[in-house]
Amino acid sequence: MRPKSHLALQDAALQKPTGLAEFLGELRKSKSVSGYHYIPARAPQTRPIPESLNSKIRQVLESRGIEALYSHQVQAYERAQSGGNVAIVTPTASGKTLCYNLPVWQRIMENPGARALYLYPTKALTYDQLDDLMDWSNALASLASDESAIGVYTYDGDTPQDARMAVREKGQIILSNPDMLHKAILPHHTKWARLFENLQFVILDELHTYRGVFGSHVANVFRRLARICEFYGSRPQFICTSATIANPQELAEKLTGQPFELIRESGAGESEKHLFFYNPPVVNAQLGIRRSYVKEAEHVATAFLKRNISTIVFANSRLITEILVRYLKESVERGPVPKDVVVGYRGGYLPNERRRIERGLRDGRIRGVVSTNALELGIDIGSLDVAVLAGYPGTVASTWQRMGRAGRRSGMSVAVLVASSTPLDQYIVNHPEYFIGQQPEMGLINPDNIHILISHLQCATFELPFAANELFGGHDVTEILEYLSERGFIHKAGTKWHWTSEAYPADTVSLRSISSDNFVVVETTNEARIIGEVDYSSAFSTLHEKAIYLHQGQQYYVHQLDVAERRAYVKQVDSDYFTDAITYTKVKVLENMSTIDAHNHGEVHVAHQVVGFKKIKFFTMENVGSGDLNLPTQEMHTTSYWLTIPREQFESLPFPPAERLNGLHGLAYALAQLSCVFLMCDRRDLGSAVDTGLEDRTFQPTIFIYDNYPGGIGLSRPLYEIREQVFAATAQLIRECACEDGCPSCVGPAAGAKEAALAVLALVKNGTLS
Amino acid sequence: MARFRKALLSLGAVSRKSATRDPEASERFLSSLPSLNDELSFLRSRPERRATQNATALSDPLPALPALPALPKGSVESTPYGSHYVVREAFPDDHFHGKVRLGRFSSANLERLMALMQETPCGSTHEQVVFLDTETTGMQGGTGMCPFLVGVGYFEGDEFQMVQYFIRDFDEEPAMLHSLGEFLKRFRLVITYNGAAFDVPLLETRFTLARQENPFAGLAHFDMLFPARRLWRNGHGSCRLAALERELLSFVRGNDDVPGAMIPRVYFDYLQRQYSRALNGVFKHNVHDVVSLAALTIHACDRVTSEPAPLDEPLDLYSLAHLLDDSSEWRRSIDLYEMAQAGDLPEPFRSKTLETLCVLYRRNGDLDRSYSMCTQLMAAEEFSLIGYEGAAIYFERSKGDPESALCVLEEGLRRLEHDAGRKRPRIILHARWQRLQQRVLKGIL
Repeated sequence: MRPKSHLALQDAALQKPTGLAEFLGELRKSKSVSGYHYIPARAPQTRPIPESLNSKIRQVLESRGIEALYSHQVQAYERAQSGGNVAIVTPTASGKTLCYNLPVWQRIMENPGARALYLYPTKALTYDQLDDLMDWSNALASLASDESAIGVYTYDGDTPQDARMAVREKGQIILSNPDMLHKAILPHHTKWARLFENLQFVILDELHTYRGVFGSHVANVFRRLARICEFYGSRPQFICTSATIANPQELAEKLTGQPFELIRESGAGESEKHLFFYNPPVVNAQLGIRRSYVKEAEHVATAFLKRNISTIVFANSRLITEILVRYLKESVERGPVPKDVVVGYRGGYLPNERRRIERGLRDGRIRGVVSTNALELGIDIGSLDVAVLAGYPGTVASTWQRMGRAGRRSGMSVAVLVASSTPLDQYIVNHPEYFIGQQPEMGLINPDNIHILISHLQCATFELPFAANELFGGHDVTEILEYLSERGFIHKAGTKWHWTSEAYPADTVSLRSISSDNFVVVETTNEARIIGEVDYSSAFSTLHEKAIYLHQGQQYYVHQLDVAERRAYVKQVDSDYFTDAITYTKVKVLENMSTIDAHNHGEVHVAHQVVGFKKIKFFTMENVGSGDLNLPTQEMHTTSYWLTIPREQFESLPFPPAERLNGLHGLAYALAQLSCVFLMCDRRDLGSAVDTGLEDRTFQPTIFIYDNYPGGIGLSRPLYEIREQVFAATAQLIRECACEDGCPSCVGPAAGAKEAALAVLALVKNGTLS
Repeated sequence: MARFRKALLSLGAVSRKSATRDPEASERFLSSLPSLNDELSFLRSRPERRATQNATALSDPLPALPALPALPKGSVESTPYGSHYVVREAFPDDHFHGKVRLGRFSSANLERLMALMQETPCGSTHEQVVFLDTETTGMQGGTGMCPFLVGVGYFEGDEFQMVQYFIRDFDEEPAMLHSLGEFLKRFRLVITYNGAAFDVPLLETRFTLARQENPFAGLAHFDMLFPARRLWRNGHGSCRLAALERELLSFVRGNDDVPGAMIPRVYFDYLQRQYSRALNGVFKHNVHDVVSLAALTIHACDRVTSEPAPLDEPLDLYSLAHLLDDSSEWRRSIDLYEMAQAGDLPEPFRSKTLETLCVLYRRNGDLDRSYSMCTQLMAAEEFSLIGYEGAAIYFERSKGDPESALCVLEEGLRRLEHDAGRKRPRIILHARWQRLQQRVLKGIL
């Protein structure tokens, strides 16, 4: 089936592995490679260690062979010294931890009473940093005869109860995460009086992860932090580090409510990088069907693994991760590499399992890992040589982060992006120059999302009574306070609002989602045990009854989903298929806030229901069965962009009714994908739906592209504003697509879809819509 | 101002303030005021408020009522921080709380009880001791939990004085804390029930939040929960104050006392309507807590000083003996253990008693008694390391018969042979056996 010219994929090449350089040469010549980009090694820019730096810190630096600093490290140090808030944007492995450690150590050496709070987006990252910080702290202590080591402690859910007191009293540097700040530290701030009275630095690592819902929550946690610091009379400086995003300064400022200075010139050197853009070959030109990108990614990864080159494969969903683990285990089994050196890694694995995998990666026992975005951040997994991306991760920033995972320490690295057949992937893989030249995404947050704001106002009032004239994030929130008072949560006495509920509000608010529910997965094959967790929003599509739930490549059959108890009971099975949920979405306009021609922006109600599932066979991907489901509807109120097409004009299009509808659905599909490119957001952040108006003769056919979070996170308004660009690119994508009548890479394979979609677009472009 | 209005409306937040209320209906409601029990069961039936952003499903608040005499008789007191409400009550020296006469506190040996609990004595007279209990707006901890009623009790001579500091709304808290802080200055020791984990840190937090000096910094604190657990948990299970006062003090609360779990809701209801019949029950509950605490303290002092009777609950005797056995009064615990043993102890207390007695008798030089404990232990079904060790020590040291000691150890090791879970006893016995065998061999050679 596969044309012989695709040298890289010839099985003969796999069986008789050539060297890496030759293999890369072959890969470059392959017809499947639509683009290749070479990034030469870059020499580091260094500057001498600043004169003002404490001599002991200098000694420790020198004892580690650091005679000079990267330019961005010196800049960060100097700006922090002068009292400002600093945001540093540099690639992975550019020594960004020294950017914040130097000013913090310096301050603590000057004033041992000073305190610093380091926040990492995940617990795993915290532990990764802890060891390193301890080493430095001990090295500093060994130089000082009179002082003890700088007190470095982690504070999270795993900190034993009896150690917490010591952390509060002795911790000069406290490593934690925003969730802990939200749930345990702020609501008990009197126990942390010492920290808050002396808090001089707040370090926010991996700033770019604080986007969307999570970022909107964390911005509110910082509003609460600001109130508490004010109560104790401290004004901490912020230092943020971030992977490359388009608006680091704006994001930092929006998150913390403070002005920032930006450092974006990295002085660190970089190893050479080979980037390949790989488009799976077309197997059916008429339908535009390509080989499965999952299979191709496996194939590429296998080629590297069989040469015993350590490889990380990124997948975009848990399901694909598990499928890839399964495929890879089976294919390397036949090769020189024992199969247990390929593992999966994703959220939902229990912490111990994850730690074991991280260790295995560091010491090289594990040569191949398939991961979701869980390994995208700075967790130290040692040096991997190759990154294979199964599908475009959805954002430019994520793509660079994932590609950066290869070659942290080696002299050369390779990254291969294997495109799926979605329009988004096809757009990127066919326009690699767009990707290379593209600004990365913006970190968009909406701290004023009403759901999020209400939650945090409750927490804030719990922490300190809320004065009647007090602002929250610069807003007058009197109306919300009155609303909460009517609901009996708070009560006004004199000039202040007080918390009046037995509940502990932070417990019911999760920073990671708008609703805080999680389902636990209970395995009942032998003795019942919990094997993982799934959040509420995806539980219905992955844990419905009769679903095949995949965990570490092992399949589990869901025999019961207890919605009330948030539990799914599963049994180990060995099936040759997996399941894919079918969902039904209904959108209703609540309020139209702006309209120009056919384009609208406003508030909508979205009802989302998982109505059934398909059984799909492994490897062949054929549909081998289906089932109906009766699950509760998930509803939300959010903001949306929508396009309305006047009924008469739509019906006057010269196509049979079925093809017109195919065109409408196809257009929605392509539009949603390209909206992500231009909004620079993750595909999951946007929902799309089509209302054909069939049930109601007075209704106009409508395409909705909405913020996929209750209350909205601020994406649909920018979409409304940049609609012309998005429509132009959508038209270009569909027109230029090589397929004859619609394929998964443009409007989807449905009869007449391509022509009909282009006809609808023409209506929009010619302004004939009114 | 209008920034969030639209969004709030989307949550179904329609203001109720404008809703007109039928005055006659309010009258009818007043004339048919529910009884305390009805009111409590109504409050209980209201869905518990869970703080979530989707707070729209809550039931309506109760209708507002005109001001009524809502509080027990007391007075409003003024401070530089504003005013608050105080209720006082005196209990004469012959007042009995259950079976305990409160006036006896002056002769109770509190120092001894505290010494047994390894507390440093603070040299306070009985008039410098204050009993304290708070009623709060929640149990979950955190700075959003407010003590709205603080009850304190102390002795003037043998008369027990009860003072309750109450806030009629949250803005009275600074005044209340100020008065409480001033009041506490005359005492040296504060006694609470679970105050180490709850009341004291809570009040300290409130003083911090009000930016007032923390009075507890200069006060010794004794939490009666700890001795209560040591003395009575084995024999009674629950050590909740309400359980112990019933079983030990024979004190039964009337139905005018609001159960603890209901208290926050009663106070919230009072705040909303400035009236709550149940609130009187909260004051009552607080008085009962403080007086029971004082009476239980007297009872606990009695327990560690007066001679126990053989008819006492064997588990309580055991508990008392266990409290004494690592103090300077360990010799006294021997009789208590024997008395407990005579009263038929259940396992595992029986074996624990034999083991402790084996050690105590040996320490007391009563080696034959110690050995007789060992024989009982070795005969028991459950393996006892102390039994075998004790017997080996007995033969080796007091009988000068290392060979019998070796036999005992070998029997013990045989019993452990098939028990993979008992690694540690096996190692210990084996080490002793080896050492002894070396010595025996050396003796022979």
